[in-house]
Amino acid sequence: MKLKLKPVNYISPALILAVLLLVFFLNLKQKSKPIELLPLVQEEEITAQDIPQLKGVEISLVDQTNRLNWRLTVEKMIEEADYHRLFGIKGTYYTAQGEQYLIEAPTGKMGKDFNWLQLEPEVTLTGEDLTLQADELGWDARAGEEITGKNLAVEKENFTVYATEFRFKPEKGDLVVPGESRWTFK
Amino acid sequence: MRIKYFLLLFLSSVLVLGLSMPEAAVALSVNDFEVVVPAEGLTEVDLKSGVCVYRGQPGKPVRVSVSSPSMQLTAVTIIYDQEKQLLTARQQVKLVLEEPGIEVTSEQLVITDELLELPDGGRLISTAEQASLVCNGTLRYRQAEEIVQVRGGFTLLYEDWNLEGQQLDGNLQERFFTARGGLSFEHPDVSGEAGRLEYDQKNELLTLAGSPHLRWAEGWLQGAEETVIIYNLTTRKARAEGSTKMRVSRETVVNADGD
Repeated sequence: MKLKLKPVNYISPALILAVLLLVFFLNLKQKSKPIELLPLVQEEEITAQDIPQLKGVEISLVDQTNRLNWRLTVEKMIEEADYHRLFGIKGTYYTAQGEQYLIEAPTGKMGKDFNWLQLEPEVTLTGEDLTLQADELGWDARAGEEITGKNLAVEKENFTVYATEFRFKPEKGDLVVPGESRWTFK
Repeated sequence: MRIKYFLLLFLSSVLVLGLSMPEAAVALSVNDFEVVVPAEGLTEVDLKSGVCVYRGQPGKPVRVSVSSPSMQLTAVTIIYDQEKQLLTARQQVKLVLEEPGIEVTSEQLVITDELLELPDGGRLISTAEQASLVCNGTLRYRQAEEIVQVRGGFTLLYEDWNLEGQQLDGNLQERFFTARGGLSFEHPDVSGEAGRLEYDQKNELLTLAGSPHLRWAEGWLQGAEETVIIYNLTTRKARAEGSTKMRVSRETVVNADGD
């Protein structure tokens, strides 16, 4: 007696087997990673090196008569909100009659309009006959030829002076020291 | 005579004050001192000409200190010209020399390499000798010649002694002093006037001239304009040249030589 298998009999087990195999293979497939939410804002960390700065800058400052007062070389200049910050300042101050005073300071500030200059600390101003050292030295184009400062120490050939503040006019050689000061003559 | 003691003491005070001034002048002419300006002050310096003007306030003076010899100068204003080596002190000027104990007060003091001057007068006080010299006019000391000059009136005080006159000249090198111009001197025991008084320390001679007049308890001695009374401090004898009038009490012995 021959069994006659109906096609249904072939299909059902095959189908069941296919389903089982499908389930099996689906479990073996690697699960995909969850999709991260995209950031709405991209944050970037800004370092000091990213602040705009110039190196090896030469600066010329003039007064209100457009006469050259300062010619400076700055190792580095960084732009701040209201001024330029200076580093490694060297240069020359010129009087109206052409006398020159050498200037040197480790740091300073300069107005963005180039109308004022402030150097500190350990500022040295050297002329032909004197060396002036101060903790702070300032210049303003609107004040004419006058240099101001604090904690002054002057060494000249015959005398030394120490003062808490001062006003110096290089053209005339006038030094005004308000308040307490000490002068030594030898 | 008591006059001898008066004259010795008076002239010793002149010597003390006169000899002390050169030390001050020499010290201040040496360019080694310190100036301190008070917090209420102001300093203006011309670095090209070397003129420094130091300003204080009344009661808050500028101070100049010299270490050797030890002395201090204070004034409301001090002007120092480095090139001319000229120091001028103005207003409430006070100079204190710790050794030999001299204090000078004035409204103006000028010091150079050559001289020390009180152009508007002043007062010199010797704290050690209790002597003082008040100058109404000008006092000037010239360092090279070692000459002290007072013009315009002076008053010299030493203990109980008082000498007033118009001019005083002292040559410290020669040890010779001259006072002139309406001289009057006073002590509890003796007083008098003269046109001129000279003291020669080398020879120990004291000379009164120009109508000298001496008064003491026991009498008085009056000379004419040309009369000169010379007193030898060594021999303790006085000699009068020219006409004199003298009155003494009975208890006083007058020797034949006039002593």
